Amino acid sequence: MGSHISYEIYSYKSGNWVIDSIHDDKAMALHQAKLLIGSPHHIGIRVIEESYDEATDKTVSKVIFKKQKTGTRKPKPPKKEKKEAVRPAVPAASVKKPDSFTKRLVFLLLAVCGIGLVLVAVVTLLMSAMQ
Amino acid sequence: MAEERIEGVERRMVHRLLMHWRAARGDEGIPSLEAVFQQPCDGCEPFIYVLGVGDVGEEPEFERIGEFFADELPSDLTGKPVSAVPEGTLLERAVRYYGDILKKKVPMTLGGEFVHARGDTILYRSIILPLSGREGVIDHLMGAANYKVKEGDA
Repeated sequence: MGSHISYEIYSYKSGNWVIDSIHDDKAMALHQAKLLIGSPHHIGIRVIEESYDEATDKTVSKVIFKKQKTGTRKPKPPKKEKKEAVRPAVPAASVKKPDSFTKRLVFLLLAVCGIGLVLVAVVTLLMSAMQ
Repeated sequence: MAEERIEGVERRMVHRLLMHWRAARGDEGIPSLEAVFQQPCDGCEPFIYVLGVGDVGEEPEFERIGEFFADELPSDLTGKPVSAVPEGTLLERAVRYYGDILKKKVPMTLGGEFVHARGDTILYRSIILPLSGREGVIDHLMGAANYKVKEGDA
């Protein structure tokens, strides 16, 4: 009966921590972690120490290394910009309102003019009929 | 990538092979056997063995075994399953956890101390790396190991 310790290296990719490798040697795990965070392929690295106690059948996890590149937050703003870029599309809907109002106004004027012409025609017909 | 020095000849070999594997895969994923052997791994070859992985449940078989292991094996185990490796050998220690790599699909390193069949107490370090020629399928495992005789035991 004893305990078993392993060191799992995780890499941050596409919003998730993905397991990269497993080591039984802490020095090796930490050395790998430091190398990985120096690579352009990795934006975040963490090492988790997993201690399994056979006597209690329990596993205890502890983060012993965690590093995230400070520059990695910079690529995120483009997403915000995208959201902002979407926002003008919403006012664009409100831009349509004057268009529809103008259309309605033009339609109303045409209708009034039409009714007026009909009335004039009717009056003219009545007058000619009376004569 | 800046490379710090890592202590211990066994650690350095395992580390070197892991870096070689990472270089072969590029950004992410698992490299193929061909990709790994396209570039030579400086000084690793004698310590490397390759297992061919068949269908689920089938025992992997040796496709190549580095010359470093020749002294401790009674015969060439190329083409033989992993269960053919004699107990009390470095290769037996180095290969015994291959199932974990098939399950987790990530490289694993393991070391320890044991009494070799020859009678020496040895300190060893080993590594097993998954290889894949088709996405999601581990078709080969590449392993390596080396050791030193424990001080006072030589």
